[in-house]
Amino acid sequence: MTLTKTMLADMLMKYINRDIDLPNLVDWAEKMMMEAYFEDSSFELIRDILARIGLADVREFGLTWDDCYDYLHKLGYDIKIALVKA
Amino acid sequence: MLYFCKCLLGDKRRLNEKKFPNKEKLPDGRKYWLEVKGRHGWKARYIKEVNDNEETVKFYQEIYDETGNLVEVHEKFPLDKGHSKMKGV
Repeated sequence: MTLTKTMLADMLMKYINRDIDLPNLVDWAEKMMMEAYFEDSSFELIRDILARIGLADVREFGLTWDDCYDYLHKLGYDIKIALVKA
Repeated sequence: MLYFCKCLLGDKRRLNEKKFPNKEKLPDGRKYWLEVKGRHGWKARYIKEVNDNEETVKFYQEIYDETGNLVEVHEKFPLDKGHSKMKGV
């Protein structure tokens, strides 16, 4: 499969919205690093973000809210937060 | 058919070379790696070993601390063994 910026952004949003947990996000990123093709026009960008996500379960790498914001911005998106009643 | 196979091999190799900028020849294949910087001077490597058909035979992460010591390995393929801390760490 070919991983695009949009697909990567979608996965980050799933994590932020707690649709997937960190271990599953990391597992997905590792598998993409192993075999997936990346969108040619943004190859290095996708690779570098994905590589960091795949290490997010290591304390000295991690994945903070600021990291997510930064990655999404580089992927061409900005985040707008809204409150929703629980 | 042979041409098609050679094209696929070439594609896979080009992908690996682009994804993992570092490489070395192995007796029966190649080893590729990508270095990633972490916080506080830590770094990691993604390492992919392939056979002569450019098929993945091993894929793992190495984690190095700020002094360059290997402190952890995460073997992902062929078996996901999770993170293993090095002895003495």
